Amino acid sequence: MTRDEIKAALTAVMLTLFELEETQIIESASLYDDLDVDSIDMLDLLLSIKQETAVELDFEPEDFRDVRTFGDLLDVLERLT
Amino acid sequence: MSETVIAPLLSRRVAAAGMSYVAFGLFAPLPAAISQILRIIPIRAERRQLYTRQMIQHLCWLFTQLMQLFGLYRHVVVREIFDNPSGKLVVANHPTLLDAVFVMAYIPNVCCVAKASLARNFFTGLTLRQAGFVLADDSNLFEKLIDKLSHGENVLLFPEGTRNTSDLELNFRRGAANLMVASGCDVLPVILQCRPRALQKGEKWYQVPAERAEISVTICRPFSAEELVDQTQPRTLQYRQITRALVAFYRCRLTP
Repeated sequence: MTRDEIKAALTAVMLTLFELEETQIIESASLYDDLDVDSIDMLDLLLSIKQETAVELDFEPEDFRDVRTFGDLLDVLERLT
Repeated sequence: MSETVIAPLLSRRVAAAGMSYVAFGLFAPLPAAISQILRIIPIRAERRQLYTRQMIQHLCWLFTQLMQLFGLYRHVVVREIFDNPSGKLVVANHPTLLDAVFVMAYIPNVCCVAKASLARNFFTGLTLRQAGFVLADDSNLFEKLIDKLSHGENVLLFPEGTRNTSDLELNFRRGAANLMVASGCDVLPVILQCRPRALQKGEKWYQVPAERAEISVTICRPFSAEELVDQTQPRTLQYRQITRALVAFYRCRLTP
């Protein structure tokens, strides 16, 4: 998948899960401070991505240890798919 | 910011505060000390943990009575349930330093989430471990709490995370909601009020109100996640809605 395709899938999932507006989901947005996504939310998010999107994902929790922004998350997903 | 009038340093009330702190220091290691002595009796670790918690409950109750006796605070307990709760997520707002003591005085078999500094403290550390309390920085905190709830222990959480600066601040984080959804347990709200406000963050032990404060403890009926939210929704939405429902509940009960 291309980065744009991953971004579209991820954005769609986040809009379903997190009471966000699409305009908030930008690459520089901090997951915790701007988007109010905490560590428990991240687990639910990754599970949703696996179950509900075409993104084929095989991951370990450590892969996301340094993820702080939406852009960081995209980078990791791009690397893992 | 608190508008409570503080008692002068050389006053009966400050002396009462000092005596209360000394009493707490003497009481705190007692459950662990007695529990260590009980080791000579061949009982299972779970029973020993339960006995330790029973002792903690009695000592917390005694401590609250002592503070009343010393004339430091008076307190009022209102119960909306009369049977002993089990396997409940006990949540409370957090206006004072002694909130955990008041909750533990009136709710049995409570597992607390303790700050790491309390584990390192000589007076409280041994008791914490014998009572099976979990440390806030434990990497498996969430799983351990779910396990405890499933075994019938009551888990105490302060959703505000730290003492508030006003009753209606109610800056609840989602930990309680996360646990409710993950474990399927009911929440048992406890409402704490202190009038005038006392024992607040940043206050020294001798900064007590000039007027005797009243601490009220209301133990509400438990309710389930099902009563609060539509559980067919994604869990992440449930966490947020449950948290808002809890805030609304507390706001309603705390608004004069």
